Amino acid sequence: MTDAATFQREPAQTPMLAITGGEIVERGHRRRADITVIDGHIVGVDEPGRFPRGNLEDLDERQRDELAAAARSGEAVFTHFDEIDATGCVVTSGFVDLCARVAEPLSVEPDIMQITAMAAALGGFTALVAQPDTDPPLDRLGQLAELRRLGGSAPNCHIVPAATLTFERAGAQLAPLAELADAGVRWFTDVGPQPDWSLLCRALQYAAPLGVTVAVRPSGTAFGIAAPMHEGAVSARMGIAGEPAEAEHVAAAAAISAARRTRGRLHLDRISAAGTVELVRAAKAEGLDVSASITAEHLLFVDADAASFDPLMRAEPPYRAASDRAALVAGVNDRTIDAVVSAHTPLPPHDKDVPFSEAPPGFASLETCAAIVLGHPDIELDAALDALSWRPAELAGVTHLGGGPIQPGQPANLVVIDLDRPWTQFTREKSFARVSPHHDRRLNAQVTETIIDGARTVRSGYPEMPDDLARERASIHAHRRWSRLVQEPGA
Amino acid sequence: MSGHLLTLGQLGTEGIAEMLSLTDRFVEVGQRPIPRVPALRGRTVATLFFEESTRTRLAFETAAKRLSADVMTFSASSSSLSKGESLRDTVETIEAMGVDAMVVRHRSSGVPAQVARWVGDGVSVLNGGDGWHAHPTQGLQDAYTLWRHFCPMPDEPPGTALPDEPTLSGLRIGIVGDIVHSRVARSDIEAYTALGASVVLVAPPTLLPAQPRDWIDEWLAPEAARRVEITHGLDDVLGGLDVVGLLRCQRERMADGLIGSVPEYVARYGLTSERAWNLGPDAVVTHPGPINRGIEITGDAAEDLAADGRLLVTRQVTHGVAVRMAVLFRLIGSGTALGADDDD
Repeated sequence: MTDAATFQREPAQTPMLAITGGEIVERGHRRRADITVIDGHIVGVDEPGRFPRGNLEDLDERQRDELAAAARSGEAVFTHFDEIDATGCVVTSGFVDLCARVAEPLSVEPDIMQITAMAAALGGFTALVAQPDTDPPLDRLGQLAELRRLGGSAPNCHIVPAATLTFERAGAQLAPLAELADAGVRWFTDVGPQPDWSLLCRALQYAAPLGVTVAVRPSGTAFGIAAPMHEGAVSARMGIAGEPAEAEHVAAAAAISAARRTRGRLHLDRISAAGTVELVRAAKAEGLDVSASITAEHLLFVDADAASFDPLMRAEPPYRAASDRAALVAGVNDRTIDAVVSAHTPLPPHDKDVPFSEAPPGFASLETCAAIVLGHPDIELDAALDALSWRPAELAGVTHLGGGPIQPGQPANLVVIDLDRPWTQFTREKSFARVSPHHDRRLNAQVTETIIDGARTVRSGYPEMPDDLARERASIHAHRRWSRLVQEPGA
Repeated sequence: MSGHLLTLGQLGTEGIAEMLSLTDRFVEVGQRPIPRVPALRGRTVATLFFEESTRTRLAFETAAKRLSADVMTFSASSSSLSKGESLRDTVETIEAMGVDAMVVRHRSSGVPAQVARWVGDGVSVLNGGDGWHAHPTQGLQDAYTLWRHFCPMPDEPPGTALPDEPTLSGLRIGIVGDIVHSRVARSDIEAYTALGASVVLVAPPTLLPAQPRDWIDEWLAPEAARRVEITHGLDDVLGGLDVVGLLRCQRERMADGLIGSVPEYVARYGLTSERAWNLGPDAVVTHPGPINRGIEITGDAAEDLAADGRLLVTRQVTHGVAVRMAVLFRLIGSGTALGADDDD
């Protein structure tokens, strides 16, 4: 994996940063250590108390000179130092979101991307896989270049491009997968169901030697079943059409059989039903290269939560029965489910001021996604971090942008989490999310620090942002612009 | 009292019974030479019909006028919804003009509940029918019609003896047809079971929710749910029914592949002359209207039953006005006595 897949970034602005007193949690082991970061890279992971002292042998000549100069000037060392006291907190590698909507590639308003990136940083994400269901969809090199240019202007989060599986996302003709893969794209999806099974087989076949992932969302839409609710007693009472869980099983089984036939790399995007978890478990046991994700809200809500017809409870896929939710929790714990995604969809508030069944699904979810998983009473910390950080980073091939090992030489994309710092979006006063069902939900875990390439973008739970972005946040008009920029999901 | 009427479930048995008792008084008002009382003088009732309707709108507007309220009419065709205004914008605009009640009808389930969340405390929202979800005033008018058929008001000829408390206890009521897509069925089920009746749902499986038993059991109180039976065969239960409640069957359902053909539906679920013959001697037939003659009921059967006074459709409509007067009076009235209106 080279940097070609991402953006050339400005060097980090903080020359030297130390994260002290925290518990470093990596897959399979935990330790107490201090982390030293210079010029955007981790240079030292030392026993507690040894800070300030990077491992000089890991520094290049310029860095050493700089450090030496700083030391010679006496107080200069301290003016260049920035220390994060992570006592009582968990320090881990940044989160990676496999499914978020950012903005459209040809947008002339890069601040939209900046806002999304800032919201991501607040949620602890250091990398986002930007969904290509924009208008126009990202299906060619020109748009990829434009997205990279815009992503480069949003320094608070790494924007990782995904491209469509088919040309114009029309589901008929394959997009130039090889060309895009050569340009560094690792994730291909039409962001939705793929009703044409033979096309899916061809896509998986074609993508396999490129080493890229094909993502599909198993949904009844593939069989003409499109419904705003889970089919069950609740939808029957509400008089709202329901999508049976079986529709998702069938679509997932079809996609898995395509993966079996082609030996391709398949990702099942946003699954929701217990039966689908079982299918994924069986596919993995069989040795197929199949992964799956869910949204954080599916660990929280069931269909009955939508009984008040609140359009904020309109989700894609729909919230299902309590038994489905329990299966998803179990799937995260036993790693059948690889990733929890935000499915972030920035919508202006008036888009939800319509009848439940006409409301576009989704909401601004980047800020709350990780907190929901980390604070979930039935999910172990290691399982939560696997699903938010380590595993999605591997799947997207971006372990240098988040979810990677914490060791000297690695780019410093890190988060500090206080697992016992209750907060609500409503009281946080720094939220970018206007459309969210979580405004007054008490969340226990809070990301207090987010570090992108060595730079602190979230400081003590507050965003570090340029003035123009601060003004933008204060302006409701920004949200009205989003409506025009983000294509209606499910379209 | 200010509040909303979104479903009958929220009223409970007592609330439904109270509303039916109140309806008696407005039926009496309707029989006066000048059927008007000043109970809601100075109040404004807005009817927000985002879906076309003749009967329900006229019934609400007539009810409001008979209570001396001012009526403001909004219909989707004359609205600015086509100009990109959101539903909430429309509701807030009408609220800002100063209304005491909004009657909301919409093709999407749940809209009256959403409107109720958007408006201030001073505005009552009445569900005038939403999607497949609920049509509470229709449920009340059907229940009232049956109650007063089997237990007439004292000045009418006496019928089957039932106590003069609103109740349908002891009756066995069939609801026949397209149940899954019917807000009337849902509200009728709530009203009938709350008043003690046994209910038999009769429909082909495709016109019922996917797991109908779970739906009933999770929705209704256990004691009420036990009195609901579900069957796919009309002829199996027809002879034992006191009431056959027919639902509208829309031809679109055939295009959706939910029923084989219209003749097939009529053969199995239509009220034909033969089936009308097999009804019990005192059994009656209801229909929310408008009737698709030749589908839910054949022309001959309708004529015969109407001649016997056993087709209650017209009476349902008459009672529809009185029921809506009761609902408006209860929700936004100030308790003024129901004397004659001095002005008229």
